[in-house]
Amino acid sequence: MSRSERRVVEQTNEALRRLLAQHSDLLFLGEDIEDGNEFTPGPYGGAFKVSRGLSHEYPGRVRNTPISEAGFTGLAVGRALAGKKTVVEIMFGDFCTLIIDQLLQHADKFPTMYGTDVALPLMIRTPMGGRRGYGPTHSQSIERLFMGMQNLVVLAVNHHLDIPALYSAALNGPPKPTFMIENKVLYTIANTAMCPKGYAIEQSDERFPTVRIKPARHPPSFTIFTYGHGLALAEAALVQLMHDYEVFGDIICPSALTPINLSPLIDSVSNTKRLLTVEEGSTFGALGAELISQLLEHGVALRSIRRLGNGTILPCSAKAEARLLPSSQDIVQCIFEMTSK
Amino acid sequence: MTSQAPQCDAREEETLLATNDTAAASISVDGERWQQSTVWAGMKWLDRAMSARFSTSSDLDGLPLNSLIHDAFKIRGAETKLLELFAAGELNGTVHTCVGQELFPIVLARYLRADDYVVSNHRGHGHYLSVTGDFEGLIAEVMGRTSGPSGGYGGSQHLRTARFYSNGIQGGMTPIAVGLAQALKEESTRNLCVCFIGDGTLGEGVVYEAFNLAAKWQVPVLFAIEDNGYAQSSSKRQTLAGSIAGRAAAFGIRYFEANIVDVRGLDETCGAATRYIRGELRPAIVHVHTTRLNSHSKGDDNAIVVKFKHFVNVTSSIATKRPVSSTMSRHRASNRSWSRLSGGRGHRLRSSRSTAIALFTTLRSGLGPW
Repeated sequence: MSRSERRVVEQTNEALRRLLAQHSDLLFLGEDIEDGNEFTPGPYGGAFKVSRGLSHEYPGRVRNTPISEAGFTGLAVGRALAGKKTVVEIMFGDFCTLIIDQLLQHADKFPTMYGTDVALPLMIRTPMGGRRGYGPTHSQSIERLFMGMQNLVVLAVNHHLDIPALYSAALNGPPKPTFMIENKVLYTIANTAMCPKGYAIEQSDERFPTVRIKPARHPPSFTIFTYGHGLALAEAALVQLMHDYEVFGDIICPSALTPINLSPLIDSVSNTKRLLTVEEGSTFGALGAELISQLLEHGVALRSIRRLGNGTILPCSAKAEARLLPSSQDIVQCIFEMTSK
Repeated sequence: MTSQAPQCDAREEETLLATNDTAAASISVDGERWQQSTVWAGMKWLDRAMSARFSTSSDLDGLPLNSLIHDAFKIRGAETKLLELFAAGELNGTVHTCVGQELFPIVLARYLRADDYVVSNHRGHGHYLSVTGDFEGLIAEVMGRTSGPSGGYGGSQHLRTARFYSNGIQGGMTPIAVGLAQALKEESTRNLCVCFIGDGTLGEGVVYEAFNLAAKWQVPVLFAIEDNGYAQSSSKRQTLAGSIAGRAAAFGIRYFEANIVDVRGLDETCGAATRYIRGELRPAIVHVHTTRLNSHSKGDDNAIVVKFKHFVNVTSSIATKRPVSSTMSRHRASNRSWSRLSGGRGHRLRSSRSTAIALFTTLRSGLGPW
């Protein structure tokens, strides 16, 4: 599973490049995604540089938009409704509040409410998450607001996935609207198949794979459920838990959040009976809470349950932000408490 | 008529009031000005339309008035039937009728191609029927039958064909229309996308994002603004600052204006606007002053429905070839039209009526899963 150890941001760039090359009708639009043009000569390529170089390679098909998230997302929905593949970048995940109407009332409903399967080859992609000091309105993880719609597929990238393959699966499969969650800190991490020593990494053969990290030799005594950048935090915690406390556990990390495949989690938790869910956003009515409900509905017996997340408004101060967001240290603490019982 | 000049809508309404006549005043129940003007405009619409229809030269310089008015009445007949079905408990939810506004989509449809897109809103029956002529489908859809265009899932506000989409969120479809138009532009076919909105929708911010994108990306979209002066129950005078022409000017979007009582002018405007859009591949706003003669929705038990009831009764009695009420006869503008009207339209109206009745009886059996 050796893969070139490029960073996630470069692999995401490569994923978009391949989609543009593969589909001549694909239009990629968003704020400031052009990498320089006649009006803005310097290099740009998106606030997080995900689209670096693409507008030069595919002129006219990587287009800057006005600051009109609802407007250009609607434009993308309309263009996709006409059968043309369209990818939208929302500069900060926080700004997705501005497109909820277009997604919930339009993109999500079209495939169903007209009584026939309406194709919508549309992808919205956006970076969520904090740890960059951007403060209350540029650091949130609000993906839970987009989960549980009937048609909108919510995906989350992590650093172990084949990122170009994930993007290709999202846009080349059944044409449903897709909401791709990236992460600002994750961008800077190496896209690698390497996992901590003493652990093995597995990936399901689903269209949107689930990553499972499990102890190579020891029986797991806990399960961590997480997604996106949370996987990196959970892995760091595994290492410390192994060294400091000699406890071992599984990580279950799906790339499809809704609809979600519960089986890998059921398999792991049925064995370990201890579940910790790790999200960056609020835990209230979020994915962790939903999964725990579903496990209970399935009659899975759980000895110990904890949820980590952040329900506060994030401050700019680096120290304060670090204290509020779930850290690998928080994970270690939780697991220690859960396994000590 | 084509116009670049901003026009004050309130002033237009004042003019309408100033020319109010005694007939309208006596129809008005409590003498409120807005109500007088709306009733009067509705009467004027009917009278003008009918006068034109039965004047000696019924085709006005190539304008097929007979057929346009026939189509308008057919839509009114269908919506009247829907209201009856609602009253009879056959419909779930509600219906928003376009009674009084029918002629705009009918006339605009004369200038549309089969492969143009049309995007519509909550008050979309007239748009759908004008474009598709699918009366049976509409009634089936609103009645929740699987044979409807949206399989009975969407109902009144969510109609679809391969080139027609309606949705019930105010303004939400405006950027989608821009996207559909962008797709058309990429195909280099000189097709366009029509997007119907109302004056009330102009309160939604996303409309202006759509205007801006349409103008900046130069896409062939026609924003058809049906200005009936009301956002549900709230008057435009309470809700709309500035003017509609001023909005168009602000975005550098070509502005066309017409009044539904002037069918010929409306026709010229629709022709000019669609030619401009196809030729220049740029957006245009077509602002049509019109009149909604029913309340916002069937479920509303507000003043408008009470005060317009007799007018609608008259029009529906025409549509179903019942004798014109004596009230209406008293208030007609001239002697020549009304009695001849019912006689002259006999054949077509019978067919419209029998179609509606046939649909109803057919559709009563054949329950869908909803």
